[in-house]
Amino acid sequence: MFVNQTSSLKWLSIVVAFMMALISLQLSYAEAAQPDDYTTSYYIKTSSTSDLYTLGYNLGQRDYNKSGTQTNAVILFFGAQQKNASGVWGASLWGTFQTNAQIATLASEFARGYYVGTSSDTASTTTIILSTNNSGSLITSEAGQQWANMVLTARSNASAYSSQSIIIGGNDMEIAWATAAKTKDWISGYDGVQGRAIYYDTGDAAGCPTSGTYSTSTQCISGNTWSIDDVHYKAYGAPPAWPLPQIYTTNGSQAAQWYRISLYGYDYKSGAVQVKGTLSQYQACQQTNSCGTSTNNTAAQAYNSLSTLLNGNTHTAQTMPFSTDVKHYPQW
Amino acid sequence: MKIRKKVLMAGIVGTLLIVSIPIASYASTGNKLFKNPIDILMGSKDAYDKLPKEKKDEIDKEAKHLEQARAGIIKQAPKNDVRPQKEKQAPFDSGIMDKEAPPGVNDIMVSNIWRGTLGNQKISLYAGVKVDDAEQGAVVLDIMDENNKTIVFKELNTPDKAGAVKVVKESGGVITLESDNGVTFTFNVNNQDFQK
Repeated sequence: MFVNQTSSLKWLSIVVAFMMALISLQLSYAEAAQPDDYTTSYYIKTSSTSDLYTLGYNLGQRDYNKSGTQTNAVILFFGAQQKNASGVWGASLWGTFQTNAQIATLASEFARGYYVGTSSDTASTTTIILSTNNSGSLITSEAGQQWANMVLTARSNASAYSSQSIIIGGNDMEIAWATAAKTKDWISGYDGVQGRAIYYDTGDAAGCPTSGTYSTSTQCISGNTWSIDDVHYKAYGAPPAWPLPQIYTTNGSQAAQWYRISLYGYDYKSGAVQVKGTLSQYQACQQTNSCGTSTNNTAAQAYNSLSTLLNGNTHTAQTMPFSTDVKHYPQW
Repeated sequence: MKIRKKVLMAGIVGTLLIVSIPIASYASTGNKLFKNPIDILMGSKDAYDKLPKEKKDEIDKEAKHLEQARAGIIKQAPKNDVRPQKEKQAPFDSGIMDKEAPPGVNDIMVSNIWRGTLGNQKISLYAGVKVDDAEQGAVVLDIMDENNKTIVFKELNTPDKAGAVKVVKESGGVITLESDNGVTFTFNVNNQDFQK
């Protein structure tokens, strides 16, 4: 009897060890994919749903052909919000005005393209960020409401593909383009919409500290309306806000600013800012040949420069999930 | 002997279960494994755990959408590659327009824009001032073809420092700009430069 029990225990331990090995193999496989590869984001200057479908399809095909489950994010920049002559809200697409309904259709075609492009891969997922900016004249609470509703319409249009895409809002909020007060009005309008999605701030923190000490009232640019607290708010402090900031500068200044904004969250708010990833503009610079060498970080340089700073401090240490690089579309 | 058999059976059944679930999932996802929605949204569970409650709630709401779609609560479409018909581009704006930043340009504060079509080219001239020098006027010229492909994209400073400029008039591709300090400049789209 004793021999039998010992033998059973041996067998049991072998089986348990085998099961543990299988479980750990699964876990390591599921967690392997990190942003070793960036996506391409786009300044959308086309009103063609066919173009957007193709862009989504191409990303889907890329993910399908890569080994392992892919998770990534793409920003579709649609320009500043505007109203047409009939008072219908939309965005400029830099000269080719589209109503919110048309933008929602463009976005859902991108989602459909991705869904179809991934073919038999039903596990890879992309986050589609529908981004306006704060450079126009309509930076108001109503504009925020309009954008939040447009994002919900896009979600509704794309619900049949939503097992592989997450459609959210976005705003390239830049310090030089609008005051903090106006931008906060926009955020308030966006946040107030029932059932609204989260948004990613795809903007900058121009003039915010890159070193030294700071307080809640530290101004980012002398005489400017933005304090570091305002920048924290637009990117993370506001309920729907998450940062996916521009890390263009090759001297590391923008990475240093966003590291300090994350640390500001730890020092003065409810915790370090969790950054969603980095945005670079290397491909756009190649297209326009107008950036010089000071703002043309590659996607890897942008990601690594911010990641290194964040992970050099235990208070801000984190793994950002996304890396993306923007270009103009249609391209030339 | 009976105990050993029972243990063995339990082990075999457990192993089969552990193996079969991921294999079935793996096969149904094109040989890829589903990631947890929280991991997709946050990168890792660890990052999620560091969030304050109100931020966790935001992520939970987004994760729920994905879970519902995966579970079929939100019906998913078949993967048919039905492409939309290639449409013509929507009409291009024309006239003097409200301010807006050109795509990818953040070193100029734009005052206003002239947009119009010359031949089959769609032109935007953004007028304003350098962000880091309030005396240096500047423009961005963006020319697209009929399919909206950009063929020219260039940034130029005004020949003299006279403050921010704005578009006041256009005729046949010749654009008149006025500065804050009352200086008039002329920009010729055909030459893609300021007229001396």
